[in-house]
Order: sequence, then C-alpha cells, then structure tokens
Amino acid sequence: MNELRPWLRLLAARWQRLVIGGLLIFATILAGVGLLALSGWFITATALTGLLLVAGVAAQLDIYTPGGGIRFFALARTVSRYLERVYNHDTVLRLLADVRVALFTRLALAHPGKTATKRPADWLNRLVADVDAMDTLYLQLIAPSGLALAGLLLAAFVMALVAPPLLWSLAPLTMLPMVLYLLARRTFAPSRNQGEQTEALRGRFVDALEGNGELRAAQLWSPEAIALLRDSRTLDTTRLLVEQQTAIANGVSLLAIQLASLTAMLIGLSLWQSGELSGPVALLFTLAVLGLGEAFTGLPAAFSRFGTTLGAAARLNDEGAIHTPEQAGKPAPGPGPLQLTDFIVEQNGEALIQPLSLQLPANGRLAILGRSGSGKSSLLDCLAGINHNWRGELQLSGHSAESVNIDGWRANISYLTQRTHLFNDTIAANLRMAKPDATDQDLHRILDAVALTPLLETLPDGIHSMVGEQGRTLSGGERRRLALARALLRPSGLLLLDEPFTGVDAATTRRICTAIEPWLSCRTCVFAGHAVAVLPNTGIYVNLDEYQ
Amino acid sequence: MKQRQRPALGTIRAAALAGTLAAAATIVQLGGMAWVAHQVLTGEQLPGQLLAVIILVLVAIAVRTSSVALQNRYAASASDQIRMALRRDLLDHFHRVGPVGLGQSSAGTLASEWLDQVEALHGYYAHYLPQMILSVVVPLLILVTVLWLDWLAALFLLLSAPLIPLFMALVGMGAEKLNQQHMETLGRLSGHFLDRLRGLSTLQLFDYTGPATRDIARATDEYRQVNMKTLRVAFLSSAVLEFFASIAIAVIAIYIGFGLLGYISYGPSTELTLFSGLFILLLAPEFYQPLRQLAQHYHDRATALGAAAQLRQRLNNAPEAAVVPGREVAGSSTAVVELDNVAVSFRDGRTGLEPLSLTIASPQLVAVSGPSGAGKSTLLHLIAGFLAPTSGVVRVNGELPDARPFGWLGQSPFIRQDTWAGNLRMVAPDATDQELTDALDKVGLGELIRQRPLGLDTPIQEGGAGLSGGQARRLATARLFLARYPLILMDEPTAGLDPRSEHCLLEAIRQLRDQGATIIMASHHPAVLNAADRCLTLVDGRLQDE
Repeated sequence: MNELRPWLRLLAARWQRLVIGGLLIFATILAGVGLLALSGWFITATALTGLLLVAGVAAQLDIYTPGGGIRFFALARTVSRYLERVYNHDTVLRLLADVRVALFTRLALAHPGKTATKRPADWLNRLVADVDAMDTLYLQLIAPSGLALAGLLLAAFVMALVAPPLLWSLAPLTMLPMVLYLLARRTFAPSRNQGEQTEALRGRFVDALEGNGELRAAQLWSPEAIALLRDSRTLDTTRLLVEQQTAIANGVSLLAIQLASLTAMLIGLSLWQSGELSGPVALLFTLAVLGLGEAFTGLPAAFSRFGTTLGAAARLNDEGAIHTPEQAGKPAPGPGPLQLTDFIVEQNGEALIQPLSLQLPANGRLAILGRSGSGKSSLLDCLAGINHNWRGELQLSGHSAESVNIDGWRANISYLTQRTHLFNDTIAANLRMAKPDATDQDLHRILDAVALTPLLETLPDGIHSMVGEQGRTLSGGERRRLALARALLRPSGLLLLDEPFTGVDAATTRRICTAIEPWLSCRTCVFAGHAVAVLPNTGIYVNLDEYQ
Repeated sequence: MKQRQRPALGTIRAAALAGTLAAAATIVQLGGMAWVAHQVLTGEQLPGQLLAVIILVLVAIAVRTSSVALQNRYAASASDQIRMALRRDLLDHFHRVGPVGLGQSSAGTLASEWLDQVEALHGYYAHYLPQMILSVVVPLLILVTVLWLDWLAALFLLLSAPLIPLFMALVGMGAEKLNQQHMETLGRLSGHFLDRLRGLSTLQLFDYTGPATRDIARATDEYRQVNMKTLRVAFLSSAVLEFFASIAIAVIAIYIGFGLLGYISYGPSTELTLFSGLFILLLAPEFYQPLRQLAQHYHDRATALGAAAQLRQRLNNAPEAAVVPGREVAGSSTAVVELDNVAVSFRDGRTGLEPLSLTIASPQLVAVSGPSGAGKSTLLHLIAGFLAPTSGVVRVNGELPDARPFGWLGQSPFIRQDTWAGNLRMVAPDATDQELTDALDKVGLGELIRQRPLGLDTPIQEGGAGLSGGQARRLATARLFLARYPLILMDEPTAGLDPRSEHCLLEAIRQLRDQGATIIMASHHPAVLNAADRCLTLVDGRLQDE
C-alpha cells in the first residue's frame, strides 16, 4: 500500500474537486434510492388507503407531496448524473496532467544516464500505460468504494433512527469487504505481473520479426512461432483467471444486495405486524436497500485491477529520483583548462580505456579517435557529467568534478550526443532550448554556419517550420546539422561533440568546419570521431585504439 | 469480424442464455417479494403459503446470482478461441509474407497489432454481443409480465419501446463521438508527452527541463479544455436515456398510486392491487437496465471495429511476390546454386532483375557488388527463397531454395533475450560448451565472454541491448560455425562496422569457406570484394560480365 502514498498525496492536492465530484456521485445514488423508495412508499400507501376507501372507511392521503417528490428525484437523478460525469471527467483530465508533471519532474531530476540502459520504446510504452493506470485511481477505485461505504453508513444511521431491528438487514452487505479483499488478494499477483509479461512477449515478438530472415533460413521460425503462441496463451489464461474470479465476486455481491433487500422486507413486515412501523415505511426500506445496490455493482471489477494499479505505482515510484539540486561549487562559466589524470572509464566493473592523463589549456582542442565500441562516447559522457563510472582525477577550470555538484558541472557544458533528440516543434523552438534569449538573427547565423540556409529557403515558414516527430521531415544529415547548431548555440565553457557529422557528406563537412570556427574558438572543445577527417581542426589527438 | 465469430457463437449464446435466465429469476424474485408484501400488509396471509413463497424467492435469488456469475464467466472466455486463431493466422501471414514484405512495416506496429489490436476485440465478443441480445430479450420478457399484470402500464413501457432504437442510436452516436474524441486527444497528448520523454536526456543536457515541464502542463490543460467542450455534448445523449428511465419509473409509480386510490376508472386500473402495483414498480427499472449496460459497452464496439478493420487490412494485404511453396523444380542439377533465366518484376512496375542465369558449381566465396538499387538484395532474396521469381527457376542443390536450412546474416541479426549459450545453441542444441567457446573465438568474441563472471551463461538483454552492432553480427556469425550450413547468404555483412570488427568478420567468413561452405555476400565494400573468390556485378538488375 505504501506504493500508493505519493499518488494519494497528488490526489489530495485537488481534494476540493474530489469532494465535489464525490458528492455529485453520492447525490446521483441518493436520488436513485429516493426515487425507488418513495415510489414504493407511495404505491403501498395508496394501496392501503384504497382498501380502506373500498371498505367504506373515510381515509385521506396527501398525494401531491409524494408525487412531487417522485418527480423531483427523477429529475435530480438525471441532472446529477450528467453533472457528475462532466465534472469528474474534467477532474480525471486534470489529474492526468498532475501525474505527468509530477513524474516528469522526478525523471528530470534523475541522473541523465540512467534511462539509457533500458530499451527506450518499451520503457516509454510501459511508462505511458502506467501513467494511464494512475489517473483512474480516484474515479474507479477510491470514489466508488468510499461512496458505497458512505451509502451504507447513511442507511445504517437512518435505520438506527427509525427502527433499529432493520439494521440486521445490512448484515449480508458486511460480507462484501471480505469478498472484495479476497478478490483483490487472489488477483493481485496475476494483475500486477500482466503488464510486465505483455511487454516481455512484445520484446520477444519484435526480436523474432526483426530476425525473421535468419530464423526462416535456419528453419527455426515454426518453433519460435509456437513459443510465441504459447506465451500469449499463458497471458490469456492469466487474464481469464482474473476475470473468472471477478465473475464470482460479482455474483456474490449481487447475492448480498438481494438478500439484504429481502431481509429488510421481512423485518419491516414483522415490525409492521407488531405495530412499530407503518406498512408504507416498511416497504420504503426494502426498495431503498435495493436502490443502494447500484453503488456496489462496479466494485468487484475495480478491486480485481488493484494489483495492476499497485504494480503501476511501484514501477513509477522506481523511476526518477528525488534529489535536491544545489547551486554550490559551480565551475566558473567561460572557457577553462581541462585536466585528466589517470582517468579510466569503467563499464560493468571493467576498464573500458587505458589510464588517460592529459592537460588541455583554456580554449584548447582535443580530438578523441577510435573505432566503434572503443569507449569514445562513454568518455565524453564522463566529461559531461552524465556517466559516473570513472576513476582518476577530472578537473575543469580548476574545479574537481568530485567536489562540484553535478547540476553545476553540467551548466557549463554543451554536449552533442550521438543520439540527440529533436522535438516535434519548430526549428526555432528546437534551437532556443539552448539559448532562450537568442534573436532570430542569431538563429539564422548559426543555421547558415551549419549549411542549412538552402533548406530554410525551401521551407515556407522558414525557422518557424515544424520538424515533425523526431525531426522526421528532415533528412538524417539535416537533423544532425540542426542538432549541431543547437549544441553550438548553447553558451558554455566546454563543448563536447560526438561524431558531429554523421550522415553529412565530406564536402559539406569541410565547409561547416570552417564556418563554425567563431563558435569553437571561444571555448575549450573535445571532439570524438572515428577519423580526423570527420572532425573540425584540432591540436591534440588521442587515439583510443593505439592507446590500448 | 462476422466470419471470425463462429468459434465464439456458443459462448456468446451461453452468456446471453445465462443473462436471460438471470432476468427470468429476477422477475420471479420481485414477483415473490411483491406477493409477500401484499399478503402480509392486506392481512390475507396463510403462513404455510407465505413460507413457500419466501423459499421460492430465495431460490430465485440463488438462480439469479449464479446466472450472473455464469454470464460473466462465459463472457470472459468468449473471445478466447478467436484471439488465439487470429494470432496464429497473423503469424502464418507474417511467415507467408516473408522477410522482404515484413520489412515494409515497423516491427513495433506489427507487435501492436498482434498483441493490442487482437486484445481490443475481446470487449466486443465478451460484453457487447451478449448484451445486444439481452437488450432485446429482457425488456420483452418484462413487457409480457407487465402486460399480464396491467396492460395500461405495459402500454407506457411499450410506448417508450419505439424510442429505444432512437436512444440506442443517440447513445451510439454519443459514445462513438466520445470515444473518437477521447482517443484522439489521448493520442495527441501521449504524443506530446512521449516526445518530451524521449528527449528527456537532451532536455537535461540543455538545462531545459523546467520550461519543458511547464509545457507539458500547458499542453495537457489545453487539450482538456478542448475535450471538455465535446464531452459536455456527448454526455447529453446518455443523459437522455437516464432521463427516460427515471421518468418512466415516476410516471408508472404515480399512475399506479392514482389507480389504487380509485382515481382512474378507465381500463385495468380498477383491478390494480398492492401486489401488481409493487411488482410493476420493481420491474420498471429492470426494463431499462440492459439498455443502460449496452450503452456502457458501446465503446467496446467502437474500439473493436477499429482494431478489426486494421487486422483485416493486414491479413488481406497480399504480400508482394510471396513465396509459393511446393512448386515443382524441374531438372536435376548438382550445382550448389543454379538460376535459370530468372527475372523479377515488382507489382509497381519496377524491374527487380532482368532475366539472368547463374551457376555456382562448387563451394566458394562469392561477392555480389553494384550500386544501391541494382538488385543485390533481390538476388539474395531469390536464392534464399524469400522472394519468388516472376519467371524462371531457382535451384539450390537441385531443390527448392528453402528446402533445407541455410545460413542468413542480415544487418540486424536475431538475438534473443537469453544467455549467450542459449543464443548459440538455437542452431546446435547438442553443442558442448567447448564448441561454443571455439565458435566465439573464431569471431573474436572469446576473450569478451571469458572476462564475464558468468561466462557463456551471461544473459543478453532483449533486442541485443548491451551488445554493439558489430558484436551482435559476430555472435550471429559464431552461430554459422556451429550450424555448419552448406550455403550461407549475407546481406551487407560489414555495413557500419569499424575496421577492426570488419577485419574480424571477414577472417571468420574465410574460415567458413575453408570448411566447405558456399558463401554469397552482397556488398560494395572493397575489403569484402578483395576477399572473394568470385565477384559478380549487378547494374540496373542486369548481371555484368565477370
């Protein structure tokens, strides 16, 4: 249950909306109960009065007040139901925003390198599904169970006031919490694991499809397909188990409600016989209990998903980290000397590179060369402060990386990673991330330097054109150059460029190398690439291949 | 969707039957309760009879609740067979389409169809279809009962009956619109959120997470406002149904009350008793209940229809030049690979390969080069049997191309979420650990695996995460050593590899040839061409002279 705590806190922030929404649901239930109960009372009263009239007894019955009451409840039920749906839907959408913002804030505080190890698409799907599971926490689980309980207490209160023996009729309903608890417990593990099992199967399916040629050639596709079907079958069976348990719980809760209503009638009638209750009131309670049953119908389904919700909460709680950024110990902004002493990058506890010692003066340039997998990117990640798996000494502008808070360290660094992301926004918005106060002229200048002016001329909206999802409207080389422009635009003392010209042809690369000099010359630069030809002019080289 | 329904029909009918039984038991239960109230309150009670009716009511409740449980149980398994059959058919289809056709859709999309869209059909079979039957049968059952009690009250219900299809249409329209709007908004919202999540580390590097967070809040709120405008209208349609259900109860209650008081002297009203009055009142909400439930399940239908349309399109989409199994291969040849006047033209009119004949008589290392789009891959696909020739015959060892297992190494090798050993033993289940290590040594991965504490039992994550591209391809090559295929086809085996990985891979390929395998590689890489025994050049689908 602890898993839910942060999410309950999030809900609590909107307690006013939740209370109003809850009251609207409660009003709907009460109007339904009132409609049935009053109608039952009215029919019984008129029938008994009618009998007296036939027997020649002068009897009187006010038919206008109950008639009006019936009409009121009929209307009230419709109106409150409509308002409830509109209002609560609005609340759910607001909560969705809350959940997303809360999660994103936490993820943003976490260590940038942390998510890199997970397969991003799967992780994202999982995350979005989990977020969706959280925004129904209130409307499907908390509100219905709370209101069912409230209705029960209200009924008990009225019964205790009018005729305490009627309280016995609520006895069958007391088995509901037990049934719901058992249901939640039995379905807990399967519901909780279902999500993860689905994602595992999805991963296996994708692997099999992508390696289809190889499997088919080796005549291994059929066993793989059978294994996939078998796994999907296991998932189906798990789900069937959950639904069957829910079906039984549904039956049991219906049984409880109907037994309660029958008991209410029998007790009411015996109270009438002993003269403690009038006939119409005796039947009023029967129908009220029957009407109250509506508050219980959705509960089994909601409780069978308890495991799903809790699992989602637990996974989301694991994402991100809570750390408070400190501003102390920032390396001085502007270019500074970079110094590495016996610097080793590690991966899974093994050294990825040989110990590296070098000194780069302020405004100096260093190129790191090496084949793929030689540790270039990991080394740059360490310099950027997003990879902490290193030993030795790292200093920037005289500040040791160990003594500086990581946010302060990163604030003075601009880093073009190998797989940088372009947002589904305009070219200008993608660039201004790096420098929010950049003028349009600044943007045009930097775009010109990376040879994107010909592209801009073909776009009707110029720098205000959308780049599409992950920059889809641009070619690979254009995407790379836009990302390079963004990295250059960011004011920083240390500039890190990892394979800056992937997908850019040699002639353009040479042209860009010259054009971006003004952005390079004012800071300390470290480049990484597989050859000197694909990097801007550099003074010092480190070849990681020879180094080994 | 209709023709796929057959296996579910039994379960759907059983669910509807259980639902009908529950409704009948409900009628008996409510009638019994009304009767008991009548007997006691009017003082006509006969103790023996009273007890019998109470027992009847109890039995009815038992039948009703167990029927409801049964209905849900049947519903849960309604789509079981359908989903399994669909998944199997889809896998068969993927197999028929072959690697060439599959390459046209992203694996993620196909996975979503195979898992999520197939799953989306469940609600339609489990809830919507049985409820559809029940929303006709149950009101009819109640109407007949009320007709027997008081035809005027039945008339009230009947009068609202023609409105029911209208309600359903209204509800349907509302639900569809609601569903569509909801899905669209969620889709766009998720898109925005997903985009920011994907780029999270970029945002962090640029110190831009604060503005991005505000942006998420703003976008979500904007979509909420737009969405709510439509929802306010869409919810009205279900409010109408709710309204009529409430009003019907109110009208019937007041009519019965007045009738019982003797204010209405017309028709059957004079014969109303507490029993019949109460019974009718209790039945009135049940008359509308199935419809209200149908409205709740309406979105199941919309979702399922969308999914079904997508799946139908997938299954009907005949693959380009699909492989036709079991075709006769005339002639007997001992050549490893023999292409006899083979040509390929694609459906869109493009010519893949001009008629060409080619014989590879004995084991050797063959390189196929040529500019991109010249037909190198098409040629490999033909020999692999992934693609059927438009004309001509392909023979491998005198048989159909895929009659026997052979080796295939594409750019993205198949790596399973398993250990290193598991990934290697896929093709050679009986190989010893020593043989596995030897194979890894041949591709230069032996050292890597010896360094790991778990050795061959080191797990590889799904999608080969934790392996570089070069390592994954070398692992797949190690498999070729273990399987000892007589024929190995490779499509750009060295693309995107650094020189050292490339050298390692070429060395391994030469060793494979020395072991007596025929290897055909499509590549334009000079190092690969230098290593080959024989070079074929393709230009515009035509084989140049060697």
